Amino acid sequence: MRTSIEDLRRAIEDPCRTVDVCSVLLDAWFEVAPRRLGEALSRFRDERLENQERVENFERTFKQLDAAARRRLLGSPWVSGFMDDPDGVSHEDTDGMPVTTIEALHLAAMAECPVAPIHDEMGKFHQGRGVESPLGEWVIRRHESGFEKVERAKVGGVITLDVDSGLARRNEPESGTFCNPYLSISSEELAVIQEKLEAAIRLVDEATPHLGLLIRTFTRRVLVRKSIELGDQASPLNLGSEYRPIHAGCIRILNVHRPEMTVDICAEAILHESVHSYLSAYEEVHGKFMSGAIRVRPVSPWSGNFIPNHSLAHAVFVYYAIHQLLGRLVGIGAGIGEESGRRMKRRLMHVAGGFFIERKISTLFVLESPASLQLMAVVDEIQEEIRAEYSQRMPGETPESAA
Amino acid sequence: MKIPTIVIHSDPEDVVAAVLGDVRGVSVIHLDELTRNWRVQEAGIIEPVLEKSIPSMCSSYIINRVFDLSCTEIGKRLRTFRLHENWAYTALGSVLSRAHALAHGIGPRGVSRSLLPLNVQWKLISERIPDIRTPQFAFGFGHRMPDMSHLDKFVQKSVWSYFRWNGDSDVVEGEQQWHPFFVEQPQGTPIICSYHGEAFTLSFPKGRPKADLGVFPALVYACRELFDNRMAEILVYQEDESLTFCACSPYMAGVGELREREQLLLRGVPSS
Repeated sequence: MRTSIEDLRRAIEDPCRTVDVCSVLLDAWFEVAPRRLGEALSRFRDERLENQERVENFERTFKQLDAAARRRLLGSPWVSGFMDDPDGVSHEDTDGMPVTTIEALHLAAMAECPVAPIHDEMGKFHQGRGVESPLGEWVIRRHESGFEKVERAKVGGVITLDVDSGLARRNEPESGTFCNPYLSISSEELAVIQEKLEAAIRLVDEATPHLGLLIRTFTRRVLVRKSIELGDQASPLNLGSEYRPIHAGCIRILNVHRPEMTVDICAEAILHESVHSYLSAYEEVHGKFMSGAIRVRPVSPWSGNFIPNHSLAHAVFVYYAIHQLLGRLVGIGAGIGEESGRRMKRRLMHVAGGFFIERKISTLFVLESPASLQLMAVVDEIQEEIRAEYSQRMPGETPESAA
Repeated sequence: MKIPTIVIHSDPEDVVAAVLGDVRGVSVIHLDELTRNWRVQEAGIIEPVLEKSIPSMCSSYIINRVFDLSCTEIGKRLRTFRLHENWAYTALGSVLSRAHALAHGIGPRGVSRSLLPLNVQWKLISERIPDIRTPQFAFGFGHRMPDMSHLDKFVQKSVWSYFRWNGDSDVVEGEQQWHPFFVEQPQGTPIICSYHGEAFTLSFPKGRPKADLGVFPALVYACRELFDNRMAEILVYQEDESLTFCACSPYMAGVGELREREQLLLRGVPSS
């Protein structure tokens, strides 16, 4: 069964459709993932002689994995990270040494082996690098007295909270979140972060349970970066979040330990990035919405910033989902407190405001080749639907005498 | 017979408002006057309440020159209540909805077709008029610098600054490092085409070139259609047989210098 662009919209809007659309899409994603990994490995092997042994080592390990372990590996950022940059560096290990993307992929596969992490093959290879499950739920840490398996915290029951892996520490100059310095998070701060993110997902579940399901289906790990100490002053304080398809299923949020990062802001950030992950899964299966070329770019009607055409297409779905969430939260009150309630009303109006432009959103795109008619139709329907919600409240001009 | 005309402007120094300020049959209103009693509240839709002293927009031709809200009273109130500026443009749109015609689109820059960034203008115009050239450029993304290896004699420019091409920096604070934009300076002789409706006049700041200028009616038509500007100035450079389109600006900054400024602006007013 194929997921259509209209299905993507329906899953956000109609709780009766979310389970079907999400599960069909995820199954399709897991169908294409091994083929695409195989193609990437094959290209990598053919590039250089020394790559052959690396690929064979990985494939030998992969063959030992059962179906569930393979699925965990395929759903991990190590696969998408390798496919994005087969010759690149994935992250730095605990000793600050670079780990290549093929090494990271192999390590993740070995971590899923039934006899790992004490498998002979791992021995020297893993020195200083730790052993971590592909999805990051557990990590083996080395102590003077031996090894200890540590389970990472989870939020929303299934999403791994990662504040300290190589991935969580990664430096990315082109990223909006991971270009910021990495500061270590204390156990007290970790407890605050976990509690806040947990409360944020509860908020989504209460208001829009179907979007809670969408989040859990397409987000497997939340990477929290602390870039500023609790007491330090910064203006403006960077409270950004991000999703990058190079790390499939991983969303990134900045500075959750800070009080300014409230539960409602966290809820919006989680949903925002998870919808990106959801849309990216669709694009992996069915092809990109449109070119990611950035030479000529439209302006976002929400932020006024230049964004790639492709990001504008994502933004329409993202803000559609956030409008659902905030609209419900504002409507039901949800015990969020007066200040949070006011903030959410303001955010709701901001999100809706982006849809209130005199043009159809489809006309904002500046493309070299025509966009999918189906996508453009859905984008305009979303805009129309949001506008219709406010049409009852839209005033005509009021003469002063009637005011 | 020309239909009643109202100029609504947000810039107190607006050139068109100044030229038409004393002309019979034309009312000139600053946006602050229009929005004085508009109800703005936190997280609410703006209600445009109109005073009796404001002329009726119904069936009028509106030269809506609201290109920026930042220095207006309504802009201040938006900031106070942290409301998206689209809500003010939406309220303005509802007030202007019964007009006979509007001179420009309604909305913030980049979103309104009347205020597109330069490289988007170039893309649209070169698709419409294949024979016209547009400047070579490079556009960075965020803090990332673009590849400029294909550019010759380039300057860093603001992507929003339509008529500053003399090489002086027009890059405002924040643009230097954020989405940096580099452009090859056009060569040849500059020509400015000021138009309103189908009426246009050409001016030659550095002398009149010898070449055929017959392309301008089509260029004016294209700019009206593509950029939703019934009134604007077009800057082109003529070199040998070719024309380079640089910008279409709704600001009309140079119209005040034209001898026939009032006639040009009135000739473009639609007839009833």
